[in-house]
Amino acid sequence: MRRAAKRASDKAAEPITAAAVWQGCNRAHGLPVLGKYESLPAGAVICLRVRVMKPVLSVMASRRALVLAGGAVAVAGLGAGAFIAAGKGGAASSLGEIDPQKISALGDGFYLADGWVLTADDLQAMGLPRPAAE
Amino acid sequence: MWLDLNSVKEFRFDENYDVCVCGSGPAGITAARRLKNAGARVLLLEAGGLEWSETSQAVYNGQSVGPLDYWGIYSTRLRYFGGTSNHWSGLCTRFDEVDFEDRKIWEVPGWPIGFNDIYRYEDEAREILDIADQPFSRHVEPHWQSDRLIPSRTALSTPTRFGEKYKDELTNAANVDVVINANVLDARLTSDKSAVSEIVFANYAGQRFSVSPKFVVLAFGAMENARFLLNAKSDQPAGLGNHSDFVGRCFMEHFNITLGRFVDYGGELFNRSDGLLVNPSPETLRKLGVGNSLLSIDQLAQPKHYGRLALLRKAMHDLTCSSEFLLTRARKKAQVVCAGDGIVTTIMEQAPNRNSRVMLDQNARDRFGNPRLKVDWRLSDLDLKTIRLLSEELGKAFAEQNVARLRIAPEIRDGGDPEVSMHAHHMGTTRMSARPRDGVVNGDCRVHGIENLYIGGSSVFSTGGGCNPTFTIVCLALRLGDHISARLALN
Repeated sequence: MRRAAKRASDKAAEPITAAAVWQGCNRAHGLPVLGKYESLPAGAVICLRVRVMKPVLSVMASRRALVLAGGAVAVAGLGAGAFIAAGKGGAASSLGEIDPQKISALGDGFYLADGWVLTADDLQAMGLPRPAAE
Repeated sequence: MWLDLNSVKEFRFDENYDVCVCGSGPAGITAARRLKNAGARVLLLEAGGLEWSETSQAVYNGQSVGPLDYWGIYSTRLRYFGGTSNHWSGLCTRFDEVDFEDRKIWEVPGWPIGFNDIYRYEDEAREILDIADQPFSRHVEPHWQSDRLIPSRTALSTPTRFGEKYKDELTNAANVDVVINANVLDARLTSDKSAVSEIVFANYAGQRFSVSPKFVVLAFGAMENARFLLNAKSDQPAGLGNHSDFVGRCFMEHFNITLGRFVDYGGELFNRSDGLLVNPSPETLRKLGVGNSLLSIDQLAQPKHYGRLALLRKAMHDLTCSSEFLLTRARKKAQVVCAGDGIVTTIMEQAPNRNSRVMLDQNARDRFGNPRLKVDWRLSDLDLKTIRLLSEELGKAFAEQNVARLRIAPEIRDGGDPEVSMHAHHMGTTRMSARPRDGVVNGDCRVHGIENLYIGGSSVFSTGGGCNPTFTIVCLALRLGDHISARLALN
């Protein structure tokens, strides 16, 4: 039990590198494992063609992990960008782009802006003008 | 007694029926039971059998000829024992008191009776509809308040299937005869045309029978009540009760319209997840001069993500929805649905409008030789006003309370033809009026000018309100039963 746990721990600690990926691929296909930097493109191509062979499943999982990790970085970047860019429009800005030419008064202090029923504060927050004919 | 008219070649019916009730839906069975309990001798005629059959249902074929497609002439009604209650959804609501006020917004007069005239039968109607332990309650209590709106009050029936629930009671009653497969074809009048003298009906083999009861109640449903009266030309060429050309006119539905979509601000709109039901407040209706409506405010289903990148897609979606910056840009390119985004649909009142009507189709006949139904369903200017102003009013309530923002559907805000559907609520074709010139039946549901002919069901509704009709149909049927019992000097 303790030995199995240690094996799992060692495996988890093994770094997932591109070189490890192509080397693992080549090994699984019975191809020679070349020097660390010599045939990386060839190994990667072979690896991408692998779909069903069981030994290569770990390689597939690694690729998924890479994609997810990349995606997470992108999401985090977008989030940070959004955080920096936010703060101007307020809640009403989530309504999408509104054509300033399509704003009319509805009465009772409300406005119809491109179909949205808004308050004067909404218009102000979105940087939109009140209709001239009000 | 229970009799299948298809199983007999000859039958001698009792000559002493007090009342012949034609139709076994919620109105017919309720009236028949009320009269039975009062001691009246009752004949209940049902055109269909105990189960649905194409043979019977085919009589309901008709065509839609108006600008609004009424696609449910055949399918929204059921022609067998228990009637359309056999596929009723069970939602019970009442008209609002404001619906009985003389607001002078309709082209014809409104109800000649009041809220309490109908709903003093509320407790008994609750028993009948299996909602005795359910008070009319606010469907979902909004935590925000607006003078423009009031929470709708509803109850949900199991739903009650009248045929199943009351068959044994009616069959076992000594003073009731139930006859199925009895197609009522004509009502003959006395020589002075002041009363019905004979009801003629037939089985599916075409054999005819007749009875001469003291009173007659027609409860075929709103479309068929009108078709029967228009087809009953033996003694009145324009049809029975058609003295003022109102039979079949003022056909009303409840409009099912998508008023628009809304964006919930920070989860402020709902305090529970199953949506809200509201009506315009009486003050709003009086101020705007429009019809009533039940407004259903519901969240849109959130998108599901599948595949190996589902987690990533969900993360992207959640991030977009949480960022006004990203959401604004994403909505320029695509329809993005976030938590709290929703849609508003309606059970909206249609104004009584003489041009919205059911008629006879002289070019198509049913198996008994009677002209089939044509439905000319159409909007009026007041309907368009109701749709537009109630949309704006809801949008104002959302913005005023800062709980959401409503985007009114383009065809509504631009004055085009809104996409209108229906709720299978047929009303108004034999409307109730104080004066004969404004309708077909009087405040007692009696056909103007015919002293013993009554009509049950929503065809007598003077206006449609913003509510499901069945509860009111049952209350009116109880009231009708009491009225006829009083005339029979029973109890």
